[in-house]
Amino acid sequence: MWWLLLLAVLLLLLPGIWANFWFLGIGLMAWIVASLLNRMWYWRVTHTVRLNRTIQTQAFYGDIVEVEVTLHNGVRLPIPWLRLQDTIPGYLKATPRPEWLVSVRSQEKLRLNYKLECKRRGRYQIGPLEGKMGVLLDTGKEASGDWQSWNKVSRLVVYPQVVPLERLLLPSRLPMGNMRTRQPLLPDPSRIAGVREYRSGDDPRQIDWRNTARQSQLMVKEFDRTRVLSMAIFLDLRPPDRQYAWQQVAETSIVVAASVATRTFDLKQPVGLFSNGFDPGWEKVNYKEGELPEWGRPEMSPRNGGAWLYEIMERLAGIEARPDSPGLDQLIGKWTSRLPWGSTIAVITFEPYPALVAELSRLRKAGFSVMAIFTAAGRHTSEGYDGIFTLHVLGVKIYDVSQAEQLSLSV
Amino acid sequence: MMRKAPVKLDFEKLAPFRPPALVTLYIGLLKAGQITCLLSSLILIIQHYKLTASMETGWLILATFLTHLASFYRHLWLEEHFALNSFFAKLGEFVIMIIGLRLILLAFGQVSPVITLDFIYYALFMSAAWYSGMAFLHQFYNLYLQPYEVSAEEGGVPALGDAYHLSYDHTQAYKELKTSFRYMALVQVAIVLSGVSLINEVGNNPGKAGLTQTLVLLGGIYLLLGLPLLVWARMRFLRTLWQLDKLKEPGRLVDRWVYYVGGLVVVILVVTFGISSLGGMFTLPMPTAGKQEILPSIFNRSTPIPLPTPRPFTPPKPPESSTPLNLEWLGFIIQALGVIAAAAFLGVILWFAFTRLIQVGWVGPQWRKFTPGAIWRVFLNFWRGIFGRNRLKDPFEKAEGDDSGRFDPFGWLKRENLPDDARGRVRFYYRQVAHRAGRAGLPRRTGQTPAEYANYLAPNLNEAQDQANLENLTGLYQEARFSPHPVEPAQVETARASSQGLVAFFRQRSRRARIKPREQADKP
Repeated sequence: MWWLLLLAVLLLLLPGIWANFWFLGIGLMAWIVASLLNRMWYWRVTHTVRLNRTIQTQAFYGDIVEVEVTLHNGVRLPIPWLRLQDTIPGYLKATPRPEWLVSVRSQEKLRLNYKLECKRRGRYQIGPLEGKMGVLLDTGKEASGDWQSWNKVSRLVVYPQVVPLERLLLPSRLPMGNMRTRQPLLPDPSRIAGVREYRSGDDPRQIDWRNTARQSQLMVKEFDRTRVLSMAIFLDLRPPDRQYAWQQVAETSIVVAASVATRTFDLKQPVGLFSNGFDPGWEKVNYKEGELPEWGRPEMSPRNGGAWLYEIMERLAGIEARPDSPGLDQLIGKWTSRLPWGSTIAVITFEPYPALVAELSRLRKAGFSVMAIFTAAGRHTSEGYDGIFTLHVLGVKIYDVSQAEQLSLSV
Repeated sequence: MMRKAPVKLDFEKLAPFRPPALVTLYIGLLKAGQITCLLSSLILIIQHYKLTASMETGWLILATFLTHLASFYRHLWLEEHFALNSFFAKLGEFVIMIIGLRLILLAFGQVSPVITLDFIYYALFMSAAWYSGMAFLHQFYNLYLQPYEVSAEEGGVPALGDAYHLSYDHTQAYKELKTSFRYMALVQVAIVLSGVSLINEVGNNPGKAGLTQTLVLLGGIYLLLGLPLLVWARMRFLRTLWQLDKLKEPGRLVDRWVYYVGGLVVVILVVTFGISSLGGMFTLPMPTAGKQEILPSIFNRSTPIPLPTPRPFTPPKPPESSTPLNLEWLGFIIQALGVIAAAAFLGVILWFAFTRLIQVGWVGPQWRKFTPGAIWRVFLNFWRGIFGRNRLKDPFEKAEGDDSGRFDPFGWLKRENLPDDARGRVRFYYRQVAHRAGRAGLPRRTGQTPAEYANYLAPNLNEAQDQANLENLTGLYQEARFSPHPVEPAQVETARASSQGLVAFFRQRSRRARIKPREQADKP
């Protein structure tokens, strides 16, 4: 409006009477030119300034992640001042505060740094970058400059805390890994049990050539019979009721699951994860209660390898406890149909309840090695104690980590 | 509102919150100059129509200028000392000021001791100046950080805010300052336009031409003075917000920009006066004596201006012959004020510069280093600091040499020429395509190899022919850039043909809309 008025006045001045008013015209012209230059300057720098953020994509619990924000003024015009801030999720702590006030010279490239302290598992989106910049005169609606947003979003996965099993009051030798068995399944070439004479039909690859030479007759190696126990972690993240306190217990469950998975990986055994919790991935959709999509439920059959472990850890990083998710007892049948016979199943749950106890009994009878890890045993109802007793009688190995919060677990 | 002072004021503690003296003087003078221009326009129009009888308007103009400054500083003192302040206190001060000035004027024998028309004019214009000084001071002062906005640990006095029930809002102060400038500028322009038209159309008093030009001059000065004033206000406002947000202010920020704008205004004035010396239509309008005498002024004209012949105007009663308007003194006053303002401006700039030097640890001038070469280098560095270094066109193309970063303010106007050799030509065609693609939204990044860049561009091309062109050109470029063997003219021709198609494609795209980059993976 103001500029229009000025222009109108100038146009009035132009025809014919310019000679009389020329100094006033210069004053007006100075304002118009200054305003136009100001606008062009602002437009140019806002459209050419380039911002980028460099950050690693994964971090372990407790890591300190270095973040670098690069600001490049691509034009010859300087930016008198630029106030920039990065958007950090509330659970991550940034030091120093990711907020800067800088003056950028023409074609200058600035590197701004801060550190993120990863004190909570999760999938985080860092950004967008927001800022205000200014030239000499006002340019926007706000007196101190309009906020602008640069849609530079980086992803960071913070894996859940992994603690030694001893700290969780779990025995360091959980029934997982290669175990000797009386059931002759597979001879394990890494476990030599002895040497015997060659018999017809023996595998020529098992001939022990050194002993053959020493004893002048064909000798073959004998191996221990072992079976590979794949480990499936069944993680129950359906809290018994809607109290918020269960969230903290659920975090303990997730830490236990991550620790067991890591331990299994260390023993070079296949590990899988099944859970009734909801992992939304990178989506930012709020699903209504009872309308949780199935794809958000981790169902990862046991596999070997570091890559698989990291996939499991990433799911554990993003998983949420939801009271509207289906109970573990409804899903166990479906999940176990994919597991090889004799697999070890670690059920990590808040506390036992009758339907779950019945289901675990069925698994035990079906030949699975079942262990139950409770993170809130006996907290809620007396049913918990009854369930524990029943499972104990059935031969299910029971572990209680409900005191884990006293063991300096940051959950 | 009555303020009570239960908090004991520790002025040493409050001292850091006071506006700096020289900045205050600079801004106060600028604003006083503006208000004087505005009020002078009115005074001169009134005087032209002899509504002021025999009053000496020069004294009135000087009085308004001084009143504005006095009001500005008086209220600054009140603010800084958290003094008891009320409507009646202000009124009493004002009355005392009017009486005092009256007594001074009486002592100089300027006006009659009885309440005359002159005294009413004085009272009116000085009231306006006093009020505007007060209003401006509040806007000025409220742009600064207040002691009660800072915690005691950081050196502030939060108790003052509770004790005085203060609720200053910096944004409000800045907006008020801007709005008042805009409205007053409109008023000033309206006064000039209507005043000049009125004087040209009504009445045939002597000194008409000189007066209209004086009005125009005053209007122009008013507008020009507003430019550094508003730039200063904006930067001050922002700095206060940053202080409140505990953000560290970048170096070389404010002083530098205020210099630039102050310099810009000075340049405008110098150019104006320079053009004015050409004479004719562009002669600077200055008040002339009624008898068309040549003033002993720096604004002297070599040839008299051909004045427009006034339209014949036949009033029912022709005005009686009056004494001609003598504005000889105004030229001297304007010159004196100009010299004072220039000296003050120079002083402020030097003060800023030396303050900054001392802040960064300057111990004094080292005369041995003042060689012409060193001075020239300093000048070049300063110039580069304003316009920036000459940017390399492409980090891959030009190595860092003696010429890089050379001072070349018009480098961006230069167009790249087609090289003479075959190798250079292939590279030239490739650069053309990369430049066009960059303008279409697909710029080549610093770290991208030609092959990577081709992979980046490929998903954005529609035609198979363009894909083939891109492949050809990239291959030829790699050969021309990295191979030791000579490049054939046939290859140059292929590169030219390939680049033409791609340039046409990207030019078309940059005209319509920028391409949103697509990655290779997105392509089915």
